Amino acid sequence: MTWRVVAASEVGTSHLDAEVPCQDSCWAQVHESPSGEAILSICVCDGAGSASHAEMGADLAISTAVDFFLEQLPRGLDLTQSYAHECICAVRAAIAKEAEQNNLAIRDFACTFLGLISTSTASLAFQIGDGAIVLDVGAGLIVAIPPMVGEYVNATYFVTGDDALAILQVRPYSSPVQRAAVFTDGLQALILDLSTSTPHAPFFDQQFAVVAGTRPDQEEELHQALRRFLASPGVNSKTDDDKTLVLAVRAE
Amino acid sequence: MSEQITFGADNFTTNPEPRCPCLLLLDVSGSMQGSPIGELNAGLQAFQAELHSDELALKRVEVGVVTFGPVATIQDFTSATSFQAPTLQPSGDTPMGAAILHGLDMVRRRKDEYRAAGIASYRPWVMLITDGAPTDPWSAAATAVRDGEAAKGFAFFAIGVQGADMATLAKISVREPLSLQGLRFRELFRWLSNSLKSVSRSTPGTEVPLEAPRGWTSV
Repeated sequence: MTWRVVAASEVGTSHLDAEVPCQDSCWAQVHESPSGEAILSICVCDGAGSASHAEMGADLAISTAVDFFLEQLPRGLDLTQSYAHECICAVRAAIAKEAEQNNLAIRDFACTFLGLISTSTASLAFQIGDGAIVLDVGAGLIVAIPPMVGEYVNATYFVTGDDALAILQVRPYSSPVQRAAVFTDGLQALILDLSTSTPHAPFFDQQFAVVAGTRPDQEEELHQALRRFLASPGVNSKTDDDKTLVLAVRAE
Repeated sequence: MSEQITFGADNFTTNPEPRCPCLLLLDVSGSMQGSPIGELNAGLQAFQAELHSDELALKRVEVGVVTFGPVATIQDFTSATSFQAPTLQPSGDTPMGAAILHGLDMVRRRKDEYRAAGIASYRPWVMLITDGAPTDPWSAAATAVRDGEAAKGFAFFAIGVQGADMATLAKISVREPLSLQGLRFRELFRWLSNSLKSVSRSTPGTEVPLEAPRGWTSV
């Protein structure tokens, strides 16, 4: 068993107009554990529009979380609260170091963080800030963690915040991820029923079917197709923000 | 060559509003040459503008366009938001029977798509506009219209432009065909968009009393 995955971030039209780079960043891979088991890892970060080095913050958060994952992998993954806690601590330490070296404040690298890991027997979702992890761990599609909005619609929480570890939400599951979609807030309004915090199933079913219908050798085509979708007028008419979508579907 | 991979850009997934499909079956046979086709095109422009001025219609109305002489799908069902009025060119004869069957098939498929996507819908509207008489067999089309109307599968309206064979239209359409006064396509399409706006404000499944066709029909 493995997963078919695809991930892409596309710049929002408001960023294009203002000549601001895409401040979303994402990662999705299937690795093999020392025992030959397939392990899914997904990270998505949305750099804060108000932070001067947001896109660096998002990239750094992802690379640090991936390094942390790869470091843990040979020792056997313990998908519990402590994994998420340590991962976020590592991300915060890396950002603090980068900030210090550049004479910047940590908040200049502010970004959200969404993480999802799955082995063949368990999975772990964790999140700081807005965006969402929609997943099926065997009982249908759910939103892992209710959308995390701050006091005002334009305020959210960041991995760089003093309260990040208190804000961190973690959901361990004792079953593997069957299907998952992880996305930034640019897509949130399109595909979540915000009144009930439930996924708009037809949207997800359609995207999962596309991923499931591809062959392993079509990875690049799949990536380009997702980029086209994220940059399409249909999506841009609903959001002017950067948008990231990561999709994973369990496969033979 | 393998088929291109495409992620769902269709707007069922992002717009859960009930849909009100409207299919235009337009005669573009040679006899429409000149001012009739010009006025029809202007009417379509007005139709687009009217729909675009209404928030709810934008979300709920879908427009499809089939022309005949020969039968061609100019626009498969699309949301009012993305509907762009085509500029039609006259050509050919009047295969009205085939056009009706083709159009009704499109309507049926669209309804299946709504159902598959879990989208509620209003009874589809089919508007046939012609200035002539069918040049192909039309009895199968007439049966399909009658059966569809009886099953409330759609509402079929026939509009005759000057020169249209109103007697045959009356045999095809269950509802009494209407004659367009002069070339008042713009008024016709204004009436159509107003009617669609009323329908799109109603609850799916309820009957909406239509505004009497005024200002464009001659009795």
